[in-house]
Amino acid sequence: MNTGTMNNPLYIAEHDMNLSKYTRIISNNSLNWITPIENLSFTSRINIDWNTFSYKTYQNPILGDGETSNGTGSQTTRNRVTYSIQNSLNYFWEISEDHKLDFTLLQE
Amino acid sequence: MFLLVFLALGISSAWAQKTFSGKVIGPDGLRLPGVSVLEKANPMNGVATDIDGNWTLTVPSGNSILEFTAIGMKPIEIATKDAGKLTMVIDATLIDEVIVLGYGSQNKSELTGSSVQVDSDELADLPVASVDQALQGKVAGVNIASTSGTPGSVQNIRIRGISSITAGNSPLYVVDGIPVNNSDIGNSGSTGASSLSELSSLNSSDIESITVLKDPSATATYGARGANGVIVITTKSGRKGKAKLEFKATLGFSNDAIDEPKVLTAAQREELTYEAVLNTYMVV
Repeated sequence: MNTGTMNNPLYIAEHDMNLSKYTRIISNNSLNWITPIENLSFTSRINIDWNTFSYKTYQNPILGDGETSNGTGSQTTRNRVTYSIQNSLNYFWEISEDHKLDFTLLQE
Repeated sequence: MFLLVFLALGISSAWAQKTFSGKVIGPDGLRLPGVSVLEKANPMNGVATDIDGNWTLTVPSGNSILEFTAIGMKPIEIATKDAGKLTMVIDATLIDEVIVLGYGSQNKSELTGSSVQVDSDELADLPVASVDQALQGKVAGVNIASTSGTPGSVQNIRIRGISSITAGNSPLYVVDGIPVNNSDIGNSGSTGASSLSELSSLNSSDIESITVLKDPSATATYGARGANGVIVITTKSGRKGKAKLEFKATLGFSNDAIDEPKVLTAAQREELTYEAVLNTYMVV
């Protein structure tokens, strides 16, 4: 029975589904190397960003948005892993108290 | 000798009190006026140094501990007999605030680019679902608007306006030195799910600081990726001191800002439903 937009919200709340879940793990680790040269330092960094997203939806064929399409449902899962590796070489040069230079060489 | 201008005017035998005087020198070797000199045991008893950095204080008990304090300087506590000539040292922790800039950090006084840092104490007590929301109203020139009412939805962040018509206008996010993704995890790929920011996965209590790099000189190290500004997020890490355990829970609700029409009761709704059925199927 089509009653236009006047569905029973309680029925829809009970029978339809709309669920999204997101989980993320980030791990960021760095190592500082002390070099024999004064004021020269080397840093290595690795970052792993792992995340997963899942989305589940269902619309019942009896009442609501699923009525016209005789019921719909879908499930989406997305996994993503991002790796970043960073190496940087840093040199701090103090010419005088008022003149300081900082050099950074970075690879990512 | 000039160094020892310390004078103990001994009238102690009569009154059991002593008058002490001395001179306070600043870190640049110049005399320091306006330094407050207080007796530690009796803070009501105190003076400030004059224009030449000189002070004179009568201490009833004779020997005591004096406190020297001045804005931007490290406070000094010293026995009266040693307080003749003091040199105050600049408190570096107060003046040289360190600004985190993705690839390294810099003292605020040396920084030439335009950037704003928001520290953890400003973020900790904000009940937000996503850390980018915490920046709202904190950084000049940064415009933040929610794209949806869903908790943790993507925030439209524009740093110093829109810079491109065809390409994106979102800033670059850098977490602990690594640029991270900040796409709409919910809606991308047209899943139909609500908007969900990837930043919502970061706990705002875990954030040490957020730095917003605004002008080209501040974002230069990130090249073209930093064209829309850079948001540098530093997370907390272990530190010296006692072990600390913290528990935090936030509960919230949202309401209509204005009173909307009242919802129907079950009986009213039933009546209207039958009227709708009548209107649809019964031809009068």
